[in-house]
Amino acid sequence: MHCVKPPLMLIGLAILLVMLTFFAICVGAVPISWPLLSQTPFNQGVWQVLLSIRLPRIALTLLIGAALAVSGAIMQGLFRNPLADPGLLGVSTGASLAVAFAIILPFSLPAALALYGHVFAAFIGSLVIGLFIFSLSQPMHSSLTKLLLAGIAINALCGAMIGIISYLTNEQQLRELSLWSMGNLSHAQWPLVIGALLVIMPTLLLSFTMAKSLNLLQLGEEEAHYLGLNIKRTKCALLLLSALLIAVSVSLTGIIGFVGLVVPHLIRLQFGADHRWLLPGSALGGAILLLVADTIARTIVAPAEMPVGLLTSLLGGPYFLWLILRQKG
Amino acid sequence: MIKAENLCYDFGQHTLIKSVNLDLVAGQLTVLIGPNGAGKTTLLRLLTGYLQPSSGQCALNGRNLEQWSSSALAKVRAVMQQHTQLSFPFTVREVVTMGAAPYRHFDQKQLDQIMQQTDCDSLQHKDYRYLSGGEQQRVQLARALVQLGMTSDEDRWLFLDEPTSALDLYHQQSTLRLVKQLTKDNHLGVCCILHDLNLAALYADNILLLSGGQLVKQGTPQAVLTRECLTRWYGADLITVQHPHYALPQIHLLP
Repeated sequence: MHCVKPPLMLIGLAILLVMLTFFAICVGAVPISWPLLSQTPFNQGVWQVLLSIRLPRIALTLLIGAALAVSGAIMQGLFRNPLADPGLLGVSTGASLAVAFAIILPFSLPAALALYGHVFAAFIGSLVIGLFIFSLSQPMHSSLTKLLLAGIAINALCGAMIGIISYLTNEQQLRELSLWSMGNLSHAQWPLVIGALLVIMPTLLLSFTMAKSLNLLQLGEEEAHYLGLNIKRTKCALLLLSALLIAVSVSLTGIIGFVGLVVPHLIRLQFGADHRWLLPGSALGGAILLLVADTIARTIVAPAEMPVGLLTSLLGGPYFLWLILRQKG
Repeated sequence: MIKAENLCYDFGQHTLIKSVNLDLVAGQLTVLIGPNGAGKTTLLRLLTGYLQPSSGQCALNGRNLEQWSSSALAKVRAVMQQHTQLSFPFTVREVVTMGAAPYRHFDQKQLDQIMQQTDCDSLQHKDYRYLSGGEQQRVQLARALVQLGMTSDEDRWLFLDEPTSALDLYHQQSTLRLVKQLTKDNHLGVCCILHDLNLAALYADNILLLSGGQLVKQGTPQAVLTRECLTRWYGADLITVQHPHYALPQIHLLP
């Protein structure tokens, strides 16, 4: 069924990612090139742009892209539904609500932390919703359908509350909130990037070890049970991993849609459904899509920027549609 | 040996299984029959350890089901359900290989042999989702056999929930012949739900008739598949005759 073996395709994706990363380092509002770097004394001019603006941003982009796509792949596998995405359980809406609160509430953080105010708010919001969903999944015989419906209810509830808050905000605050919700990678700084790395990398690696369990889960919970899988533990672990990935992503970059839904789908079309290849493939694919989208977002209207969340959908949408229409049967 | 004692299962206010006592013996094909809603699938789920009984107990190979870890149980007990649907494009070979999940290593050759026995080798690289219902059943049977194929020193148990419901005549015969042959060759016990009583008569060593959650009759096909018994529990208008070539009952419905 697959003409190229998945390991080869994985290597291919990795090479593509490395090439794109080098390309992305070079382009931007301040172009960077080797000759230019060698002529400039270290830690001045372009070096500063490279080290304190471009590199952290690209590193964050790669991490968030991978996290979003793998989180989506886990959700789709867990719910056995190709339409599931990381936003399904309301985690990102919870984050939005917390950010909305943070924007209108009058108190402010100490100066050193003020920059990270939205990050903290979003992380707390997504964690609260994540833990709530997790506690719902605890009682025996709780079905995935119930979880899904609970997610819909949470999404609706948080959405309505965001609506109320938006209604109460002034123009300035409203703009801030709506820009946040379009996703943005521009405030990437090394402390944030390193924090993200420390959470995302172990979570990704752990989720790769769950690939075989995710495969068995595709046969249905009963069947997976007969094959010796501890269903309850597996479901909890997968939920937690996926919620953690989405919580970190949303809190650092706002809502970036589409990556989590579409990347696993694209990878599955090429790699097949085996999660042992799908999860690492999605990580690479998500990093690539977000890198391309962000590079365009920061160059197309330079020196201004487009919200990257808009671009992921603008880029991914037509390509995805083309793939679906091209498919036979 | 599987031994169920006084097995009961309540769901809400309904009692689905009422004090069932039964023994399953390795090396035998036991067929579970009964009208719709008699509790056949529920009983199967109790015997396989998927559901915990409300009262009573069930022991497999001398050990109570609750004492088995699910991974140890997976090596001696496999279940094929009525329908298994997938949402993602797994190939047939990938699905069959999932049967080897309880084991660290699996034997490619044995897998190939099982694929051949179940007539799945021509389907190997196809997308499972686009197979017909009958082909899917054969793939699931292969998967269940792979799951049991790797252990040898203990009695193993295969549970089948209507394995032939979507199969054509040839594959009904070959599937049941295969299962029957497996019970002769290895120390394998099979418990199989069948709706087709004539098939049950041809292959069963032992038949259990379930009605309203109770085991109302058990014994050889000749003992259970009588006109009187079937009319009473199924309520259908029928006669039984002897198979022209074998000393086995066959059932004919009346128009």
